[in-house]
Amino acid sequence: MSATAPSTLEGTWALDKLHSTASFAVKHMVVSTFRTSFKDIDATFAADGDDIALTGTVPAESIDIDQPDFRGHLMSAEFFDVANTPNIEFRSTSVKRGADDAVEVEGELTVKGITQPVTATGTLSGPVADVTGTDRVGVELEADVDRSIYDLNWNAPLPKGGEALGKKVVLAVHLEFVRQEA
Amino acid sequence: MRILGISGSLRKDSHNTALLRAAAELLPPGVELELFDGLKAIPPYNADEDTPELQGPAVQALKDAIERADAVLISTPEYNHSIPGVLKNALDWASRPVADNVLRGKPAAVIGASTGLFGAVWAQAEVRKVLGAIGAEVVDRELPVMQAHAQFDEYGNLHEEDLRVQLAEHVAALVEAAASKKVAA
Repeated sequence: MSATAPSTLEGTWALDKLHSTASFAVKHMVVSTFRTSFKDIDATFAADGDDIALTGTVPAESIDIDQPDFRGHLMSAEFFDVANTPNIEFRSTSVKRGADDAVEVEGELTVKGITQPVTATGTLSGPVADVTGTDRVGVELEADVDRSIYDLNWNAPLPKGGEALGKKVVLAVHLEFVRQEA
Repeated sequence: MRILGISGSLRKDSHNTALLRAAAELLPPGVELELFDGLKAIPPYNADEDTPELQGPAVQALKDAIERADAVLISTPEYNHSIPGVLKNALDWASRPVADNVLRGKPAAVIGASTGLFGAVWAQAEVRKVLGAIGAEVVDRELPVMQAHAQFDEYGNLHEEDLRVQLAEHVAALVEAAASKKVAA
């Protein structure tokens, strides 16, 4: 096979949704951790020289929770308020690459219509050619956010002490991009 | 030894009734759990009818079931952060007459399941509070079973070993309280 695919990040990349996830974890009941993900995510990745840009959008209603009462609470204004602010959005402002695929991404995360700066760290790997010769890039990022800055303040004191739901939410994305033909 | 299980849910496929059935499978040898099935028939509490003659057979059945049990295990759902009305109503009937009600001195423990993230933890606390006010010997433990719709297999067994262990420890604590009561008696 004539492996002539360029080995740089230069160009635009499309999300392979099947191999990508966006999830979060939050402490609840003081000691337990609740994790879930969003079923529908979209993201873009583009490199122009050293200038790398990453964007992402997740409809809050695609959260992977089916139980109607639980889901209804999360969709309500006490949490994501999907009637007024359906999407969670991210846009990078700076992508800094380090050694061994390390990457630090600064950007703006919009949740419930409120935009706040966020810093995520992780890895940016590739490109590597898959079995069909198509270049792929992997982006794995994690960020801690305080949910209260997005007006996601629901809580309740537990009978035996402590708060029902933690303030810190750990966001994690595992994204796989494929090179777009020029 | 006999434990009376009372589910605070009337629903046919109640997670809390399933939780009591799961508890029944985890009891030590020589201990049986009777599931009380008369909650729906209990009328709204009315002090005018609060006499042995007027309280009716459903209330009598509840009081008899509690009386012949060595301990009571209540599994409660949570409605609006609190106790389901039917359960509170039954406990109100059982609390009468105050001085020598059937729950007075009776070892009692509370568990609970909900479909959300918190396993009826607030309702459990309120049931313990109410049982304490009535005079029961309340085991000071909670067992919140969260996302209850996903916790049981098709045979009604709990999926998670951790949860089975916690439930076994919970009922063991109740059995121990009832056993020490029997020794003392």
